[in-house]
Amino acid sequence: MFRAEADVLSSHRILRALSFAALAVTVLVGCVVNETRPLPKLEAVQAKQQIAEAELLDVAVQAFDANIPEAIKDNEEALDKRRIYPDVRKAESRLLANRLKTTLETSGQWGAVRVVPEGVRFVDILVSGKILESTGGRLELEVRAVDSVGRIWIDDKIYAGDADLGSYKTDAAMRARDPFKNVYVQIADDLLEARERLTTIDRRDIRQVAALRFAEDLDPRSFGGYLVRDKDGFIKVSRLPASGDPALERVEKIRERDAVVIDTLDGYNEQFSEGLSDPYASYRRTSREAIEKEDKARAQATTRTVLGAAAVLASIFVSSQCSGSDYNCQRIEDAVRYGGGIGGVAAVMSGIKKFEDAKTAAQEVKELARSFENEAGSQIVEFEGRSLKLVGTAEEQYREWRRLLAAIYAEETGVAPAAPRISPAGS
Amino acid sequence: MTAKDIALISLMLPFALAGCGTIPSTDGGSTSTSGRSAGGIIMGGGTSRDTSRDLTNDTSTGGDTRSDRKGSSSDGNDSSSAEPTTADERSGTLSKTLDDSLGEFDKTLEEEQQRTAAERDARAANRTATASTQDSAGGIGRREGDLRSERPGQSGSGGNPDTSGDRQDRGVVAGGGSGAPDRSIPSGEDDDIVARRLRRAAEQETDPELKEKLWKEYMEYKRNVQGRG
Repeated sequence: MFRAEADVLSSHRILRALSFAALAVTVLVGCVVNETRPLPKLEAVQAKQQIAEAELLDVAVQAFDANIPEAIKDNEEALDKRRIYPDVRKAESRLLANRLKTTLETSGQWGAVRVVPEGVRFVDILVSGKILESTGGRLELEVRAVDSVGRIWIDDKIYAGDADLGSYKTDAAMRARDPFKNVYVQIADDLLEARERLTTIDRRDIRQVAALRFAEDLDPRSFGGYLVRDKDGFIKVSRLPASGDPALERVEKIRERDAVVIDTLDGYNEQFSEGLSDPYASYRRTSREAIEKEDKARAQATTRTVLGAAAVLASIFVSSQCSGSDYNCQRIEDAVRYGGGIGGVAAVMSGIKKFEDAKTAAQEVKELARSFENEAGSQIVEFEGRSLKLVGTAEEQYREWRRLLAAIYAEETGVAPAAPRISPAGS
Repeated sequence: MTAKDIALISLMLPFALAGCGTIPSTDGGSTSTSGRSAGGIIMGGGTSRDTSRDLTNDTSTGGDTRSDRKGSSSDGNDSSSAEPTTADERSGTLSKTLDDSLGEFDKTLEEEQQRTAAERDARAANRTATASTQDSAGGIGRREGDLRSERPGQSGSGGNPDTSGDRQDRGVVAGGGSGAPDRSIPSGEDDDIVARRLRRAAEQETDPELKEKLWKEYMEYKRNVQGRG
């Protein structure tokens, strides 16, 4: 009687252990399924009142740094592993900058917001960014914003976010809202917060300093000495040119052209972004699905392989819980071991199959990227070609104007002194 | 004075007068056909540029001021007779040159903006046409810009019609042949800044396809420049 009870107890122990194992498998598999929660739909803080012209700051968003690591830039396999596709990144450097620009523009908080090429310096606020990660599922940017005075508004801060899956639902939804709009909104709000910390005078100074820096760069002889650096290294206006100063009028005329050049370059970028908008949105949507499939398959593969192997090992090496004469217990134990072994092998096989699935999904991600690269490649070349031509023409023109301004200065003053530099305050 | 002498004098007189007519042209005493009075303020486009060249050369003390090469289309002969003499005049001339240069640059920018606007309109029209075609085809099928439908090797109508249109306009890959790069890449000795940038971009590009396209862009630019010249 006592023995029979013991048999039942040990059988129960084995069954309980099996149940725990099954539960553990279920839990572990369950853990790798991503929960998709709807993200809040953030909007940039909108301007509620008209901002005075003198305080309305222009923002130049530089094309983002594509951030293709130098060490692996020629290693396709390593790049694929990190989901970095150079031509996709090249296109994204403009496309993402353009998304940020749109967010800033629609907030109504800023003056002219433009996407500019590298090299544009004399603007009120210059925003630059680096793409740390960009897939259909996640975006991570490192952003820096500096004003003309030299004050850092955003100091290489990292902005990251997952895609809002609602934006991927339909084509109309994709056009209506970028899946990573929340990331751009955070940047826009931080810029606004930084601006709000400044006084009215600070904001006016930013505009004046930007204008005088431009003037000084173009006509250093006439505009040297108007700017100084304070003890913190910020540029300050030490004095202002007289209103109606012909030199100022000449430089202002050139600055107007400079603004048109920037507008035109921004127009190119706008056109480029419009042209790739649908293909890029589609690429992000399909690649996100493929990436999710890959990640899920990889996680399942790992779990199944590990647990399967553990079950096989357990069925072989776990010592017997039954006494030598307890045949019932031994029968049950054998059945459990057999079942565990078979189940373990099946789990390992399933894990291997999942690894294959993950590889297929990874290949799909890569193919999608290549497909987008094919589409974007020609447009990148055209965009870069046109931008280079215009920038080149403008630079040549500026050189010419610098020479003329220097000659005019010499005629008007009778002297042609060496170009002054911005000097530290008090020196 | 005999009748013979009178006849001789009357024969020589036209030659003598013609000879007198050539003298003023060499010493600047004649009234010029341009109607500009000697020593007046020069407002003429071409001549003012030539004058500014002389002035900029004169005033280049620090090596910054050089001759005004851009757009100087003067006839040259008049400049010596109309050089501004005072600093104010020279300054005015330079300001005028600057204004002219700004005007020319405005034209370039305007053309570029018009071109961009036209392309944008064409793109929008194309997009509308594509959308209506898709609608009339039943609505189901490809999404606009669906990458899956535009992989190379699939679907003859794949690719971006907008892009091909733009590129045909620009003549970048006209012909659509094998796309083999033109072998006759110029030496680059006479490259201006734009050409130098394009050339450098082409040289540094590692992707063979993009490299080839950059070279084409470079050569197209060179052809255009030479055509203008």
